[in-house]
Amino acid sequence: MSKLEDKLSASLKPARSKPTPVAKPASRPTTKDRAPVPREQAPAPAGDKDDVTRPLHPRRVWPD
Amino acid sequence: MAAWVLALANLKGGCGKTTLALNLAAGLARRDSVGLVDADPQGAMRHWVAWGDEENDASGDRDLPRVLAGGADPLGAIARAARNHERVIVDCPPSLDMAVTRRVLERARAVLIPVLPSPLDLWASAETVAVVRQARQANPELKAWLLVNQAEPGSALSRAMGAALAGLDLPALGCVVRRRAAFRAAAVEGVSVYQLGFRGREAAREIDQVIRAITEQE
Ligand SMILES: Nc1ncnc2c1ncn2[C@@H]1O[C@H](COP(=O)(O)OP(=O)(O)OP(=O)(O)O)[C@@H](O)[C@H]1O
Ligand SMILES: [Mg+2]
Repeated sequence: MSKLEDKLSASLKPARSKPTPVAKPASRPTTKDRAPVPREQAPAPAGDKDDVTRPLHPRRVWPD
Repeated sequence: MAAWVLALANLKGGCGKTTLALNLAAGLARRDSVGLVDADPQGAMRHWVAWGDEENDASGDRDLPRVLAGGADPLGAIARAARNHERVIVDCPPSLDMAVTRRVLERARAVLIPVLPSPLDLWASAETVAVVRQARQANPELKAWLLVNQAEPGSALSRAMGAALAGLDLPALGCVVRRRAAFRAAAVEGVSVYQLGFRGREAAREIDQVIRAITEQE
């Protein structure tokens, strides 16, 4: 093993021993608290509907 | 509903989830019926495909799979895609939506975790591995692999990643995806690397390798 490999592998150890992140259980709502208005109540942008017949991104934002 | 569902996930942003999801879907779509689910509210994949539709309308060269927006209900979108396709590829969001990633992984058959060849990405991936572990409590059959993306064969760090990944408790896929301009060019043109012809040849070959490695272990 090269020195770099050893160092990289060793550097992973503290990250692995961090407490396991807790994901909310599946049954609970998942709307993030960061948004002042819950996503469900916010008007859904047209592109957010999964209807394949409507354009997903009607506005072109790519530069010409 | 026996569709094969593959998630591209990593709580770390920018590691290539969307790029790989779209190109893997395009590669798989040459053989099977494939649905794409964009579980990321940023909607980059939807934009990519919508842009491709707009840009390539005239040429008729539109072999990108359709995208279902996950919106507030990614599991519903996966279920709908699974009813209509043999294979479903799900592009997961980065860390703010850890709960979304976990729920998707509870439903998926397999997850591919792209990792950039950098210590920061290596460390951050430990968290994603923990989410895989949690999801396996509900979905013990979930297969999971790490995949180095944007590898630079000339860089010592890229080469050292292979050994370092062994510390993450999940197997590495056994191939890597190199950093290639073709992956970005494909996005600019709203296509997959398969549609770039000669320019995308090497990138497409790598995506084929990834597909082979995953489907061999189905
Ligand atoms: N193999 C590659 N070679 C060159 N560029 C790449 C490669 N993979 C991804 N990229 C580029 O890296 C950037 C990040 O990729 P991408 O958006 O697919 O990551 P992501 O994990 O989906 O990000 P996010 O977490 O923000 O959703 C993009 O600019 C993309 O074009
Ligand atoms: Mg993305």
